[in-house]
Amino acid sequence: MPTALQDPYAPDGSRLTDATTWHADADYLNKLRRDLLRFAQLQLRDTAAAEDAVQEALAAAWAGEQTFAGQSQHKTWVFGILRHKLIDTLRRKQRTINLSALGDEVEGEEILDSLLFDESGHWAQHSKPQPWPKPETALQQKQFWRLFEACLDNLPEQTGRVFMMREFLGLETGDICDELTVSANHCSVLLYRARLKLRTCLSEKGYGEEDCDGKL
Amino acid sequence: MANCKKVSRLISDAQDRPLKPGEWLLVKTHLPICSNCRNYRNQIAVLQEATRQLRDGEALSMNDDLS
Ligand SMILES: [Zn+2]
Repeated sequence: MPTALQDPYAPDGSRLTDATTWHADADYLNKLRRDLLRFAQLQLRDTAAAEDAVQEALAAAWAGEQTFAGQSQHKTWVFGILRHKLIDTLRRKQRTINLSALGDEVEGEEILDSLLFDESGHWAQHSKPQPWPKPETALQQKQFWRLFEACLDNLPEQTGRVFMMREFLGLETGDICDELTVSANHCSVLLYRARLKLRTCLSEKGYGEEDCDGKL
Repeated sequence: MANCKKVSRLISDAQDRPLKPGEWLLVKTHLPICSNCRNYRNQIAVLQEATRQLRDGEALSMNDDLS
């Protein structure tokens, strides 16, 4: 996987285990902060809260609040710390979630079904999934990431939040349902909707089509 | 009776919980006869891999010229 970021340290990060040199590397730190911020913004959709979470994560990493295992990449390790911060932030925000709005979102999504499937439950003519390029090559394309992030942003807020909690923050569905006080079935419907919408969005934006700027 | 709507839901569920034997049977008997659902399943797998890469900070550096 090509990456603009060259980790100046050993691949196993061993030199960082007890050293505190990484934050003195301005170039590394700038790129790290930018990537952390983009990830946090995707999750929170709130720039100020995202900046707070990133700041806390970097401070925690600096302070060695959580032990750097040494076998993982340093960047991955810091992302792991950020995920914990984001979970905390989301849990605080969760208390203000409008649960009836969550219900409305699912109700409204019933329309999606009639758009994607015909009466017999088969894919509608215009929505039949077409093959995408193989992940090992396509995932390296910037276009995929641009579309993917745009489609994540397009998810309805609560649907997007459940998807993020599950896929990005790694929470179990049981925990997500408990936090949102919704049924397990409701939770899995939201996750299903999120995935359907993401794949539909990517396809509609032209991902996987041959004339897609010739980049794929 | 398996149809694409039901099978696509089960393929999503399979990422979050173990499917029951009867559910697996529906998926396994449907996929060989439905290229649309096979494509869908592969797309779901791409989404999963993409989220993993974003989650681990492996993907974002490639968006240098995003803005
Ligand atoms: Zn099918």
